[in-house]
Amino acid sequence: MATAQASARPSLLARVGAFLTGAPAAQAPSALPSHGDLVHRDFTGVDDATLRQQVQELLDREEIKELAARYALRTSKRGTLADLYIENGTFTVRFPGQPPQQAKGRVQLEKAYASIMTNPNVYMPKIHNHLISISGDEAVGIVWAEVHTHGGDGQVLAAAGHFQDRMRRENGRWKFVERDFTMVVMGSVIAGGGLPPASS
Amino acid sequence: MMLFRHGPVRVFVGERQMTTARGISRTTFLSYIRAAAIGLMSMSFMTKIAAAAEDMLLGVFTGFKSKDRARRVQELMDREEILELSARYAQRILRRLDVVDLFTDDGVFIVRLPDKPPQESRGREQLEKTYAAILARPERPMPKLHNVLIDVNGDTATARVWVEVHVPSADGQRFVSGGYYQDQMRRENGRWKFAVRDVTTLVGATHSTSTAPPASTPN
Repeated sequence: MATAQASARPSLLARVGAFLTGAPAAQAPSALPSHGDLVHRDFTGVDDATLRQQVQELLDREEIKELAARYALRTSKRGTLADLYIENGTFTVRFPGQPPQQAKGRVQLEKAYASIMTNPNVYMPKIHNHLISISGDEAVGIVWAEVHTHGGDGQVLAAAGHFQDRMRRENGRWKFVERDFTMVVMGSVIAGGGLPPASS
Repeated sequence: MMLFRHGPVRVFVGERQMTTARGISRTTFLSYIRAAAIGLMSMSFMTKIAAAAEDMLLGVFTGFKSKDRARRVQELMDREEILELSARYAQRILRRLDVVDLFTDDGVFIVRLPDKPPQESRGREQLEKTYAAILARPERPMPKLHNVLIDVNGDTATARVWVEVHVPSADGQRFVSGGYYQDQMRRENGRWKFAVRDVTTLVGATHSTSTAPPASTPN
């Protein structure tokens, strides 16, 4: 499974360039917390930072939150999702009592999500309780998600669980390096199949 | 409570808006204060404080007032941290992790259930005992937060957060409750903590669903 490199230190040239132009790219590199630590530890936003760094952190957090929201909205609208990942991004789904299922890379991601989108049920993920930690161009996040479907019987809970995400800024935009979804509660809609992505 | 801005003035007693005026004089304004005070005298002191905090939050957006750019950015950071404080609380409850360190040492947790007297835990020792009991329950509560209102004032803040709690259980039943937190936060050693978490349950119901019991524990 692909994992983000926590030590994405900018090159010397990039740091010199950022210094000369005053750009906010020269964030001090620091190790990102693990997903478990993200829950255990305090808020990891920038402390003792310049105004520019504070604003950059806020902008990054806003974009990362929208990345997760965009993913959820596209899912409900049966849109494409693979482009929200970096080229070699990974999507993992963990069903209770089953081995993880994984799609890695653009081709597998497109295939996996195409399979999900052909399901007659319309999935509506609702996300809550987002925790984010950013270090330079890398970030980790945890977000709770509930997936409901709409059908003849009204709204049915299909699954609930949490995404453990790794994100990277590429070409100025945040993308998923990895989405790892663990189902904690599984409804009959999911239990009958339909969601699993292509196996790696 | 009262909301006084440059334009319209609205005076509330409890949740009832008593009057509205625009461009009022000082005398008129003071008469509104007296009217509000008379109304509030019939309420208990704690109720008045709670109503004041609630009305201030529900009334108008109070952020960034009279602040320069740097302080506005700082308030944005404070709001972000306070949001994550509530989200971290929820994520830890789901994972059955201790949450007492998210409170100040003299922190208070109040639970208000319909038709029952409020239950209060005050201070580190009582909080640890209360949360140990909550986290020892077999069911796993999953709090979900919505509609967060925050008011930051220096190193103190208040917030109101809607919360839904879903609890999957082994027999397939799913208890669902909805309510809201009225929080008071304080910045200690550079970090925001709960000084008071006061949760009121408005809706409680048992729904039968097709959900299976939780089969995995989040990391």
